[in-house]
Amino acid sequence: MLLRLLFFVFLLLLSLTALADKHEIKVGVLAFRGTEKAMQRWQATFDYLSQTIPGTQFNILPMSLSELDNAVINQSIDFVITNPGQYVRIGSKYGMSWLATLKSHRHKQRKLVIGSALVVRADSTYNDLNDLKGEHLGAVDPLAFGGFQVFWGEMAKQGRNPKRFFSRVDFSHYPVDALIYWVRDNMVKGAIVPACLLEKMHGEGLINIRNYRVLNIQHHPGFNCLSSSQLYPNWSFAKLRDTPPLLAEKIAKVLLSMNADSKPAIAAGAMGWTAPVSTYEIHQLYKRLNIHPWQQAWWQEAWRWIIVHWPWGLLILFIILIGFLHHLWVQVLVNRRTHELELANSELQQQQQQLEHAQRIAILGELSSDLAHELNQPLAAINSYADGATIRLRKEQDNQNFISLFEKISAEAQRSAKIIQRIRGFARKEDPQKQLVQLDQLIDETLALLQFELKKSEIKFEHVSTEKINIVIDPIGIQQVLINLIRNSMESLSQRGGTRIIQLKTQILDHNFIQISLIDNGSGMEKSMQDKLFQPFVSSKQQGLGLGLSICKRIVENHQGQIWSDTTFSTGCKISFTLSGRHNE
Amino acid sequence: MNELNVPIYIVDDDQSVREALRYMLEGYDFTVFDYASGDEFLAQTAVHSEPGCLILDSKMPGLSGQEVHHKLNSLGATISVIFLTGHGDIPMAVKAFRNGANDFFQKPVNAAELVPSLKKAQKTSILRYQKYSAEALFESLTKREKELFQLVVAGQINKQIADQLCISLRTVEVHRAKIMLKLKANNITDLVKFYDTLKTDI
Repeated sequence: MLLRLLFFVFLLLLSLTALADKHEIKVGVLAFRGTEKAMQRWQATFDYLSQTIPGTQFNILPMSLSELDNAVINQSIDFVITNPGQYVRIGSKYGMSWLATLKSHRHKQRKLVIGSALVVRADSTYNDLNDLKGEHLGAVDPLAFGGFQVFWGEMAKQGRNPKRFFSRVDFSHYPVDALIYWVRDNMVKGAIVPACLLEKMHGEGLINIRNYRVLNIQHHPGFNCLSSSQLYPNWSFAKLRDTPPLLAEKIAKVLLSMNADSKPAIAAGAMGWTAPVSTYEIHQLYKRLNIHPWQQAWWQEAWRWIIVHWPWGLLILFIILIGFLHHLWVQVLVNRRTHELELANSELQQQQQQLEHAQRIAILGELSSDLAHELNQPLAAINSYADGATIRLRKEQDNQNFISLFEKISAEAQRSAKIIQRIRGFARKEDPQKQLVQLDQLIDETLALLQFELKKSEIKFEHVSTEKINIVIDPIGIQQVLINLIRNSMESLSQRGGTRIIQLKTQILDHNFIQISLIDNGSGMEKSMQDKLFQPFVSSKQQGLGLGLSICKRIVENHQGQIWSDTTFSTGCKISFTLSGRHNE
Repeated sequence: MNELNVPIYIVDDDQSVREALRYMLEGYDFTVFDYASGDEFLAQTAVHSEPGCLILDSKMPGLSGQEVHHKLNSLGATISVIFLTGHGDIPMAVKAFRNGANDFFQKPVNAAELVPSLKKAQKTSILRYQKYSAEALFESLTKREKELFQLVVAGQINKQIADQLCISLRTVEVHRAKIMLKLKANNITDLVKFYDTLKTDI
């Protein structure tokens, strides 16, 4: 029993030392057709290496593109077998170096054997890459070499970008066989696959190659697959930065001395290994595609340039500084001018308001005798009532009903007060303030100011409004516009016998705008007058300043409206204006 | 005729002015009628069948005060006219007086000024009315009777008249009786009074 136990412990120790002796070496392999196919391909090679190099145990780690990238970055493997694209893309950044390049069996030792094929169904109508413009395509991976980047390089030569040329590119990732099935099942119109994939799958009995066509075929002597692109070097065996050089040397010796007809070479589909080939074409390709790993951000390039050419750099910095200072100075000037302009503008605005006010006062001045008469009427009535009451009291007729008398006197006093209120309201001097008003009411108030003048001139005034209009406006301003227009009409009517009519029409234009038109049957106006009607200091009246209508125009424009005269109106005048601010309940 | 019975007419387009004036004048026991326009007044009032006194506004829709006054004059109305206007001026007043207006006032007017003027105007209207009536009666006389009337009121006795007109005394007496009847006179004093009325200068 004890013996058996001792024997077991001995065996355990033996195996442990054996393991310790056999140094484990991890090799990452790009498994572009899946793990199983990768194992099949490389198992023999690594068994051979394990046997030939004493004390080593090679383990294959089939990986996808991103897995292999990460393994290199983390240095978690010792060696890599991959295509030259990935080698340049990641290896040049992380210190990989070639040990040996695979010699192609299929293409009889050609050095350049990796390409892309653009595959469509044989029964499709596509004969050329151009036929696929705007179609839905498949590819392996944005980072896949034969499965995307090589063909992208071909398109770039023609100045095309796959992202814009095709309507959509879907990526299958590994295994790449899937893409051929996508094409077969019409899931995509065409696929970008590594060259020779079709031939390999046909050879394995997975597909019938006659069901597919390769477009844009480029002929390469000695290359036995259909390719739509130029060709690049074969896969290579590479060491990572920290892998011991001695081990690498041993492996290189073994690989380079491998026979073309040896078992590992046949399994790998190769005629053995050769010295590493140049990666020049791949660098060129990546530069063309603007994705070269050494490519630096523009500012890094610029900085390096400045460091190297510092006098020029200094000059440029100086020019930029001058430009910036100039910009600041211009900004200061602009601000100053803007401020001055704003000041001038507000001053102008104030003067405009003063002018408007002055014109209102002028109108009141012209109306003063009429307004005095207006005021006189209620005063006369009050006077008469008072005299009437006095005589009754003197006669001691105490049965008189003085309550109704005083009510009447009070009503007359209120009537006078209203007239004064209207005058004061119109003469008020303050900034235009917009408020909600009932338009008909405003028009009635305005007419009350002109009531006596209208009566005196025997003018019939018709106010036509179809709907009640509520609107947010500056009531004094609009009153001024109406008074100016009505008084102009009265003036032109004064030369006319017969019926004198002024008609005021209000109508709703839309949810925001209304229109007010003033029509008279007066003497009208000359054509020459119509064109400059709203210009200041143009007047047909002998004593007129010609400010009324220009002020009206300004007030209307402050309400986002327009004012115009209808030239088509043959007898009399028609002047219309629009106002915004209609209030919808 | 009692002058207080002479009606006062007010023509003014302002209702409250009219009503207030009416209230005042009724306090002074005048008989007052008011109208909103000249047309209304002319249509509803007999302008020479009786005395009256019109208080007239000048600026009104329709006929103006001046037009109403002119119309009354052309109809030979016996009504007195007093202007009461809101905006009178001197030319307007002068023109009014030339056309025979009794007075001219600016609004507002005091009762103290208006009432005496009205009373005077009423008297004037009565006189005008009497003269108008007298003239109408005088016009009813024949040519011969008019000649005879002139001689009677000149103070000549029947004999003198008969000699002057080369008619018989009897004929003069017949004519004289007819004149007395037509002119509603009872005696020679009435005839002289009638003559005075006819000759009044108003």
